[in-house]
Amino acid sequence: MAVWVETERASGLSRRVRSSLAYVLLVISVVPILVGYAWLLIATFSYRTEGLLPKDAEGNVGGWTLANWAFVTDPLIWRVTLNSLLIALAMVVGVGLASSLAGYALSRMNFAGRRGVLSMTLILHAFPSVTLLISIFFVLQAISALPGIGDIFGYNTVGGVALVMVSLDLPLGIWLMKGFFDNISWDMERAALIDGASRFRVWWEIIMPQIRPGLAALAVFTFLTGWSAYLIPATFTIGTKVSNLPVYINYLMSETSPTNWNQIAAVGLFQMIPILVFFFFTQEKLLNIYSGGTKGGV
Amino acid sequence: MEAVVQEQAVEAVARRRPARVSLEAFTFMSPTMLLVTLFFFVPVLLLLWISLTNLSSNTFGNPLCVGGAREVCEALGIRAGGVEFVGLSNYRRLFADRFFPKILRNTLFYVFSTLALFNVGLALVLALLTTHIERRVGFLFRAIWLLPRITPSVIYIMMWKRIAADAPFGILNQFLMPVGVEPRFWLKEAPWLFVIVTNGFVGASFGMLIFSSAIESIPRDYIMAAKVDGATTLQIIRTIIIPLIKWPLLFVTTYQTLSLLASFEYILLLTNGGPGLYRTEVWSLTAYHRALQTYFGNNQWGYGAAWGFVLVVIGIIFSVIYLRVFRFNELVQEPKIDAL
Amino acid sequence: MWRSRPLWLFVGLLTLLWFVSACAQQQQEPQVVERTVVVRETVPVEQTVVVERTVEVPAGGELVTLVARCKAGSVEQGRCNNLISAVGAANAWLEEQGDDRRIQVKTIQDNKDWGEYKTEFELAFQAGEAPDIIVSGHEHIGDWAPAGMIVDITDMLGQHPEFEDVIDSLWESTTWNGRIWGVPQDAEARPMFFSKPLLRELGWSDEEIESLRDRIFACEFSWEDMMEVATQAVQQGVVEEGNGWWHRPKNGPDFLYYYYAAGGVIQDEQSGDKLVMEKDALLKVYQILYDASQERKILSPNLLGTEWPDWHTAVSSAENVLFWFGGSWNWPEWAANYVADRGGEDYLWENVGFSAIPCLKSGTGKPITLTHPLVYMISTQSEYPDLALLLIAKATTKELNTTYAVESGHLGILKSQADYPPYKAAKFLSEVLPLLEYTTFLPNSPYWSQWSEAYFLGIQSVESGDLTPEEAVEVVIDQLQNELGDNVVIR
Repeated sequence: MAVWVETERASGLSRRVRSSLAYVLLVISVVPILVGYAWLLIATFSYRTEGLLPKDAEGNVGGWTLANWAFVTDPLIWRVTLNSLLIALAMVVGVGLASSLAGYALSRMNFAGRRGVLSMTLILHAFPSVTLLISIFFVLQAISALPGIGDIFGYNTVGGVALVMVSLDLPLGIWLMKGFFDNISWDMERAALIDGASRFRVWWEIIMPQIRPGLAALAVFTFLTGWSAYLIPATFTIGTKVSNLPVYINYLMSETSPTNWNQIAAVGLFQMIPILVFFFFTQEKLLNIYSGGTKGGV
Repeated sequence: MEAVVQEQAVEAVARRRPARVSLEAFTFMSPTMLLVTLFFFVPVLLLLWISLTNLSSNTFGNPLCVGGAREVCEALGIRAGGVEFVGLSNYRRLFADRFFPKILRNTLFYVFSTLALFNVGLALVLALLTTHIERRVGFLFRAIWLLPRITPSVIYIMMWKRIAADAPFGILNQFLMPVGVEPRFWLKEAPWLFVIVTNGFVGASFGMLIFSSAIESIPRDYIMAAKVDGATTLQIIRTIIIPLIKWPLLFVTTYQTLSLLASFEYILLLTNGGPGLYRTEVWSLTAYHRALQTYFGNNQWGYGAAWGFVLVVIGIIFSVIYLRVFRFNELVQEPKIDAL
Repeated sequence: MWRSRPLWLFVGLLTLLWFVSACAQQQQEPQVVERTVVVRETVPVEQTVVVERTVEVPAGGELVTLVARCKAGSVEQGRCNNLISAVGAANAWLEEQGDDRRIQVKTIQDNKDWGEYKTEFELAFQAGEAPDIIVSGHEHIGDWAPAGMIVDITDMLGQHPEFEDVIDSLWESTTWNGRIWGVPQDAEARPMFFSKPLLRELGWSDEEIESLRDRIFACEFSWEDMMEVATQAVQQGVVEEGNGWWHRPKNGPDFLYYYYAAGGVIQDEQSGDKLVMEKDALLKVYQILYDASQERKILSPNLLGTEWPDWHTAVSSAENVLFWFGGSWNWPEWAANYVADRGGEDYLWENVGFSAIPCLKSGTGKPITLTHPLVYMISTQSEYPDLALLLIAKATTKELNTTYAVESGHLGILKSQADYPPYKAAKFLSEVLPLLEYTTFLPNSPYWSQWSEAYFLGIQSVESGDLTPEEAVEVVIDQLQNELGDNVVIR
């Protein structure tokens, strides 16, 4: 059902014309996207492409091959895929936890500095994280010097990389979570609080279950960030201890690396498969991700 | 009767709240505050400090170990390197750079054209179109529009490069040739077009999702009534829909201005600021180039930090302006539970 | 997705497991006490056998773990692996000397971008976690030696006769401030390639084509002649406009030899660490490029910014571009990835010729090329610089280096390799070797990076037609002075 043009009185014809115009415009708008994906798919199964056409050695159309996919037999690719997966899941858990805690407090509690924190989350978003890299290095180095903690969260540790990545994703997470909490009725919560439940119990047992769709939406986006993370793991570890798929692709694309577009495209498509699968099953939640955080604090 | 009891109970809760609430709020906020302090606040202050030093590859050392602090650092075993306090000289260099006005112009051009054409403009059109048609089909189109956002940037840009490539590789040429258009290296002929389009195709989905959920929540009666009065589609959009989605519009504008100011990854991968003389170089890309990416790897951390810090300041100025327009106080109205 | 708590728990558990394993792994790393090292032993050549060898530590002796860091593509693994292979010889030497220490090596090898690779070493050094040995471009000596990050090995070289075999001129590239800071690991040359079929199409006889290589060496065919022929080819439609002459599509060391060819000097005894920019030479370079791209239309104004894979595809077929300035390491790459289905290396021998970069008559009048050796350097954080150097010495042998050179398409670095049969058997390498006679290097200076960025900016803007050569010189000089201040001398 169309949302806003439905009317009994408009003649069938003009309605049909108008909505088919909408279809035409929409179809045109997605052509570049679809063409891009079509190229990706064709390229991975051919030696070389000219435009969208695969070409063989003589320049005729054809030359299909599976050679670009040979990398799937390389055990290395599976190891880096596993790493990518673990980084992405760690991001999902870390960002989900921290931002739903903070989002809850911002939505439900009144405390000094609340307003400041809220405007901060918006402003933080304006910081190009890449210019902060070198400063973050010195922070990590300082953490390294702490006994005990330094071995887990310092420079050149997996923990340190995870902390930085989670932190840089927090502003978006908090903003979205606050929006979702704002949209949830607080009747049950109030009753529970009056019955003497602690805030923490209320948050964990009453609110969190209600906010699953929001968490799922946030999860998808943080998963994506983690899945394609490159700069931070590469900068804060020696020899890319956290070697993941983007690192692998980057090596393929490096100047001295003997590869061609089609091989890179194949690895690229490989990297996209889980995302597309994930996307297919969660698109409904993804499409709702921003509906929460938009109407201000109401 | 019961209601009264409850009211009293609530008041009791409310009265003993202040101390407890702050403590609880503190607990809830602590992981975030810790991380944000460590990895945002401290780094930003450090960034400001670094921008006042000559930190670079060949002077690399801890930037806090300058002047008198050097001995303290050495005693503590912290490497001071050759780093020195140079005052405002990095900023002087920045403003003396003959490309500074050009880069600033590029940045404003890039941010506001992408914003107007795609992130707000096209987003609104897409939202209107997808809510206009059959709901499930609209959903499908929105899903397709989300694809660029979820595609890893390297792959996404690779696709666009193929589209805009020179003959015989370019897809656009292949489409235009039958129509009689000479094959061209489109990415070089119209670099701005592709910079804006690639960013816009990613950026538009954000506004599209927000606007469509806002449009979907407009009561159907409003529009019906207008229809009955004989209003045209355009009139409905202008007089009913736009005013009702004012907040989402403002929010998207703010949020996306800041996103665009800080963004450079797609430009880096697509044109790397070229072709020719800084034709598509924007501020954050310059900061990245100075601080991190030169072919031979002499990183000018201090000078790069100056570019980065100016960008942070520009971002804050924009945020403050927008927050005023946005009437931020309304946005952060008192939370429900504590107002009871 | 997150319907049930078990799933959450599962994800959490998985993450926790990963964390624990990652941390555990990290703590183990420094204490590897495993005494078995894998050694790749070189049997004749091309054939490597993996042998497990036990390092026996004498009673009371010490097992030293050295960490080596290399950047290497898939065919360049020998860079670090040669160090592993040298462990046996190094320990035998120690035993002979009555030294109770024994070496084992841990290598970190991947293919990061140069800039990131370099930053990584600097950050690691700052954090006190620098590797003992790092292999990197020789020009990084210019940054790392003054910063105190690498060891001055000048006085230590005498201990190992292996170093006497290194080609003398290569030591130039590892010298800064009159001292030696690294040991050459590999070398390459940057030839001019040409398409034989296209020259034939232009009316050249087979004899003319075959003699071109030597005529270039003799300066009978100059840079100017090359541009003239390319212009003809474009005018006669043998190649498309813009495809007469190509250079690399991104910034890189190559462009410096244009400046050298035009008679430019970048560093001399008076200047010391400071770099020199000579306006005349600079203008000449920009005029050539402007002429080629804007006037003659033999060099596409869109060349810079073309993607490497497209560039390789276009040149390697020998069907599109007449002359192109490339690198010797491109050859195996083209054979393996770009013309594999057309006959691989045989196809290249048949269709592609190469020689030095032709002499610039209006400049120095000598053929030229540029070598960018990678060098082994020892970090000042290494506790055992002597052992690190020992290991490097044992990896600097004609056997190990030849295997590496043949696999990776790099040139040898040792005098003895010229007569070493396995090296001579590699046709491409032996044919590139004569180019070294005309070679030049990048300067070792902390200011090189900015110098090069400014210089390249000018190249970009004359080729795109944004600036005339004169304007470009002015802009570049201005930029250099703003960036480097007193550290650049303009002449």
